[in-house]
Amino acid sequence: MAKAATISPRTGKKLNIFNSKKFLQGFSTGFATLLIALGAFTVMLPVFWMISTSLKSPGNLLSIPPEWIPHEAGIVNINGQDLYLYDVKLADGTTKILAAVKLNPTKSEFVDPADTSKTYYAPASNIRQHFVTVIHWENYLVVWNFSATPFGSFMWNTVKYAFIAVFGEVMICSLVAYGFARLRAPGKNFLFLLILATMMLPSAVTMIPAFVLFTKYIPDAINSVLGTSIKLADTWWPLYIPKFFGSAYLIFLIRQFYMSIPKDYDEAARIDGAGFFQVWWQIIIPMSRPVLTAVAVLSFMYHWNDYLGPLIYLSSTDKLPLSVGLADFQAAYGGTPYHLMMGGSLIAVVPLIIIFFFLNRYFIQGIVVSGVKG
Amino acid sequence: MASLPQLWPKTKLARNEAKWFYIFISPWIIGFLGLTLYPMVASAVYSFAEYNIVKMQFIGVTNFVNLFQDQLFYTALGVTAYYTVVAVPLGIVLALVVALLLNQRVPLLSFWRTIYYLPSVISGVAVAILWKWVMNPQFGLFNYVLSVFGIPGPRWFWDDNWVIPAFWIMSIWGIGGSMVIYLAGLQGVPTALYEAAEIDGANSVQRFFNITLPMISPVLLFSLVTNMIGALQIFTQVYVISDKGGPNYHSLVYVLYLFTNAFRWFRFGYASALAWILFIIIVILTYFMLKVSTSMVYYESPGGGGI
Repeated sequence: MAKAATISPRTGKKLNIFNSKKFLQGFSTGFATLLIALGAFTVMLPVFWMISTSLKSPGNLLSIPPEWIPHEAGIVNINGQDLYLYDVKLADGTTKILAAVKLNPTKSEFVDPADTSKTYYAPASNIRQHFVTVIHWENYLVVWNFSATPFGSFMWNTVKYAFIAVFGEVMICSLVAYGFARLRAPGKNFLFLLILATMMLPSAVTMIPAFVLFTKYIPDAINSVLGTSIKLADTWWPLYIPKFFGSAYLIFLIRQFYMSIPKDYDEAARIDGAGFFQVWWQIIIPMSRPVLTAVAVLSFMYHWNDYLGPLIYLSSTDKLPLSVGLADFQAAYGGTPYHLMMGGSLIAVVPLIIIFFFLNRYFIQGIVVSGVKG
Repeated sequence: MASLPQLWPKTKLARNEAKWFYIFISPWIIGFLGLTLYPMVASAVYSFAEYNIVKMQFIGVTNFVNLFQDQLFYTALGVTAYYTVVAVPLGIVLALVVALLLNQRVPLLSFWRTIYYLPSVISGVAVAILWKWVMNPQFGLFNYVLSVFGIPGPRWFWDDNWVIPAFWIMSIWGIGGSMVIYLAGLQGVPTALYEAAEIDGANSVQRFFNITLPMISPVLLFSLVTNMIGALQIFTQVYVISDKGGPNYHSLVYVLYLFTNAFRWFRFGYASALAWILFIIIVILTYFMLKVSTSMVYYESPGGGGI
């Protein structure tokens, strides 16, 4: 009967449990998992810090070393008086939580909050201030209700902007992408290269003339023709309108996906007499759910976080989105209320996180489709 | 892509298809003409003028002459370059490392991936405000962690020399986006290649440099170019944390300087000149990167990669 190999054919070394393939594989996977977990923990630390800070009082903020769970000196109200709580080591060796009536280096007087008839005494050396966990959930309400920066309006403006942008971009970019993916025409290749080239164009170049165009030339033109007196500065129109004219990046993305759909479907429909628009709407669109969801998610994320665009065009507080409103909060409130600023940041970010957790498959898909196929 | 026009039959069917092509892409064409081409030409025109939205006065190349003598221009360029040159490679390497780790068939893959990706979802103002607090010299989390190891933390965003490093750290927090891309790229490498190499006696380092890297090189290149272009234009985080350019202008990134010129000082002409310089720099850098990469990047399809 043949004996099992005792020398590894690959490395020529003697085989034992430690250099068996399975063990090494398991070890490397385990080690990798450990590193990943450590990294993940480190990555999440700032998020925990943000949440922790948002629940503190201004006093907690300045504690050194910084604390994760906000603590404050415990206070209890006895007979109408607010008394500080202490951990008191008594003569009989037990430690009780008691309210301080009078503090004295040699003989401090305490009362048991549970039974106010009992009085205790202890020297200052045997007592320590008692801290309790106090979580300031009301911070969020303070931020939300701060009248100079109405987070309710900010949230609504942001939601509106994100939905309109997503709708416009998904519709228009898939329309344009279909043209590039399926239809032939002279000049098509040149135009496609043009689309790719525009991805290199810094937004700073188009930003200033677009600003002039939207705040001056277009309103002036409309007003002189129609006799109206509209203005587009400090409105959302300069931000909404471009969303209906395509984004190079998204067009590219969707086009790549369309190229992977077999032409048979198109051709079958065309033979049956369908027009190109029908083919797009009734055949291609239903089949492109993955890429369209990815595009929707990418677009939503981008526009929820958009700062520079709204910053340039909007000035009235009630028109601002969360990004600009949050940035203005500190100046509006005064000082550096980091607990409130973290609270505001969380308010601005939580809807996105919730959506992310439910749809994270599509976020990842979106990134993958964009980065890998590119 | 084969060029069709030479073969283009002048049939009614073909002409109809061409007509529909232009109908389908018409929104983009209008957008391109009005929101890309026109602004490009307009900003080039502005750059030869003194313009404050009310009055335009042509001054020839004065803006460019001033630009090359402007100390702040060079500061902005230097700060931006300093930021980009470290943040981009560092981000790519770290993202690749994490992707490689996650590719080891670890348990709970999608959970870890979600966690690493989360910071890049909440990018923007909230992140900037968070990091302003995390890097607070006295009460912030970062310096506290450093102090646990006995390292006295610097004043970060409030220190000339540590402001940009602070931004590097903040940008590293967001590598999840790239990491997810690399992970997908890694998972697309055929295992048959690795198996063949193993049979031939290659160890894991050799497999990495001879199989993994070449197979994901297109993805890495695309990531490098897009991250570089993005890093050169960093604005939101810098503006939120230090809108006046930071301690002694040590975080005056290029787009911030441009924005200040345009919307604070109303020097649209000068700002347009700045914008065009940036554009030219990006085009040159991208061209060189693509040129240099052709010898280093491996493409599956015989006709070369890309489009």
